[in-house]
Amino acid sequence: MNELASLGLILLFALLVGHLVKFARVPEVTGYLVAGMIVGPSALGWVTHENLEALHIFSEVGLGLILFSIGAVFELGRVRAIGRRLVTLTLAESGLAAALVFVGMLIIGQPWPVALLLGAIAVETGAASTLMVIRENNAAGPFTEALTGVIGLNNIFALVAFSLAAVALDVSALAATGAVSVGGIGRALFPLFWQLVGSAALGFLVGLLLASWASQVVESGEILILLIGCVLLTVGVSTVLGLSPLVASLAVGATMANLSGKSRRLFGALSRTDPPLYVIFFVLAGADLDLSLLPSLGLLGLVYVLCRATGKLAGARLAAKRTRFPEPVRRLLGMSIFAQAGLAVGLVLVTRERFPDIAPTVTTVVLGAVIVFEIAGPLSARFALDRSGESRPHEGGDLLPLDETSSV
Amino acid sequence: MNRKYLASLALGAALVLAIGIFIRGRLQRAQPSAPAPPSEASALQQLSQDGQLERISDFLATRIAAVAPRVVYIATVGAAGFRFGQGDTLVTTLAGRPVISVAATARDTGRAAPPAIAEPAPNDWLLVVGRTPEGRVVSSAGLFGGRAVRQCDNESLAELVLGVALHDSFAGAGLFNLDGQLVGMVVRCAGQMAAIPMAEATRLLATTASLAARVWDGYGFAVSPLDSLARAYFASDSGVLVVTVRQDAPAALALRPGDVILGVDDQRVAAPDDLAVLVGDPPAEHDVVRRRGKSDARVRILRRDVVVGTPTDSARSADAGIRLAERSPPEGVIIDAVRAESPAGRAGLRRGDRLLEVGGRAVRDPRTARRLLERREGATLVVFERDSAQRGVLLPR
Repeated sequence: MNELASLGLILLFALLVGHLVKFARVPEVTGYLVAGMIVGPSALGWVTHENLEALHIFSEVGLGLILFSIGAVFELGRVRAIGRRLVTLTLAESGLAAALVFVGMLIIGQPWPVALLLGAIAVETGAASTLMVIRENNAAGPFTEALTGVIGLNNIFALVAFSLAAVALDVSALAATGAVSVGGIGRALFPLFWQLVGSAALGFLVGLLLASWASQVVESGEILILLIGCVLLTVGVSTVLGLSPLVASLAVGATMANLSGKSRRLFGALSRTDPPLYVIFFVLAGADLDLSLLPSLGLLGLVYVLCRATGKLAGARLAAKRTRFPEPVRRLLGMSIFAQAGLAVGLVLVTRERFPDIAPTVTTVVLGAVIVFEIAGPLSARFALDRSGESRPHEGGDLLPLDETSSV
Repeated sequence: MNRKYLASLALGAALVLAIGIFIRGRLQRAQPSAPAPPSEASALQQLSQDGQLERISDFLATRIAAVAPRVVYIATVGAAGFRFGQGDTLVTTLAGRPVISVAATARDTGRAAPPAIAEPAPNDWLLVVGRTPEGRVVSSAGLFGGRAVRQCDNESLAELVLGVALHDSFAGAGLFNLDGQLVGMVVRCAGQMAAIPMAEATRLLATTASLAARVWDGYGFAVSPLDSLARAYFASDSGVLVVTVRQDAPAALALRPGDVILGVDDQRVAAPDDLAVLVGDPPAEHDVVRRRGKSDARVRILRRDVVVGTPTDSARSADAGIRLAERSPPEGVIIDAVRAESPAGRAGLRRGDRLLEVGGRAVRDPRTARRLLERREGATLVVFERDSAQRGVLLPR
């Protein structure tokens, strides 16, 4: 089947499954993922590997838009109010998850490089699916705000953790050959600097362009063109320059939210138009999941899943209590950040490229665990949002823009 | 926000990007061409001049470690011969040439480009790096002493003379220079190991494997000549034995491993070369006389490119009674281990193969498999699946 037909099929089938799962009180995003698994190469094969490759661009843009939306959380006023506490909270849940996975892997006899990389990847929480659940539940309040902030920060931390782990591996490889030098360490550290500082710089510049242009634009159609143009530009340039499209898109959103008086209108325009893109994104993500990996997860996968889940739950609970977040955050945040996808899969690809000798283990464990977490994550996030009392019925059945939901 | 403040932030960001792009460009240029920078040979020369033997062997071990991840043992020994194209499979086998059995050397990592091929110069250090079926790396290093000609039964081969003993486990190993470029490979030649340059290996393929490769590519099956054991088993003096059938090929509807092809389009088939009639110009449909067990039948095979739709589609839409669909539930029994010196080991069965039939009886569970294997009398045809292709071998008693 060609790509256009695949795309049409994806949208219609996802809509159908999205309707069906509502009866089972399951988040739509889970429905989309399941729809993807069904039509993907693992099951029916209507969407082939070649289709997935060709449609990959939609996934990139979808993830860019999602991170752009999350960037809105980092409005300076809000950052000043809860920024430090959010950082502590995210550090705790990420750190504990990473540490438990690292130790768990060592205990079951994995070599330290594998344990280190898996620990670093365990930090990541899937931004897209969690954000979609927030939107679907039309949730707003302190819990939702903390959750969105944690997701944004968490992705940055995951990138830092992975880059540092990669540096450690590179340096130890240099040490083994007796070739440690300042230049070598510098070379190993550069990707970390580039992915964070470089991506933030690009995001800031594009955000600045977006904010200053937005003040001249009146029509909502034009606003949309401007916005999508900027996100495409960010993702495209990041790819060419080897930057992180994720961090750059986040930075565009954050810059926009801080500099433009029209940011709410902009984010509003986006959220009314982007559902088809998100549906494509999630169905493709589902189709990309290789279900045949599940049985091969074994003890390794079990340890990874359990350690990561425990770390997230316990870390979030302890830190939220210490940083005096309100009760719902303490009780429920941990279970709402299980989801894992996007960046984790990206980091697996980097692992394959940079460390081919240990990549098979890392790939099997992470891609297998992603299936578990992408199904369990949205379910538990929805449960947490419902229990927090911040879910609200939709007015007129329409999804509300993110900034309205998160700034109430 | 203050305009000046914003402008200086934007300037800072642009500066960061510009510096980053500059450094990135420099680093990319300085990046070693996989896996070692071209200065490795001079580094070694320096060590040799210093006379530090221990450091030389350390150095060679480092270079081998750099190359080893790229070398894999190829599980599939297909009939299509050498493949450089897709980047994943470098070498399979030289079909139809039992004299030269090339097992395996390959570049593993899926999307990476195939390794660069280089010509060795006299006194170059060459690394011999291979893998055993169990995945263990075998390696050695030696000085390249020049070229010679080696007689392998009826075949004269250009040989690379190395200052290193090549034992049996090096079969199929790759020869790399210190910069990680592939210069040749180790093949079995008249019972002994010989290192041949890549150009020679490619030539062998062009002259010997092309018919088998074209049959494999065109129809999806591979054959071998009938040896004395097979002749007795199939009670036939002529014909060729179908040893491998791609599951997604239309030929799979008509042929399966263990069949003997006796004729094609009313012409007798006595040796693999007689299949040349299949790869000529159209027609792309042929009548094949096939012997399965004791009964002969005339079946029709189609070339893969003339089948409407993908081969898988055609296989699926075919009468369900003819053969199982590709996505049928797993059948057969996975082989856990094979003793090298056992009949199964000698027949080429390996760990991970899925045993499907023993002596014409389907294998559904380990118990049946054990029973059928224990009760076999004389040579028995065993059909198994490896890498999505069904193969058949005769298991000696």
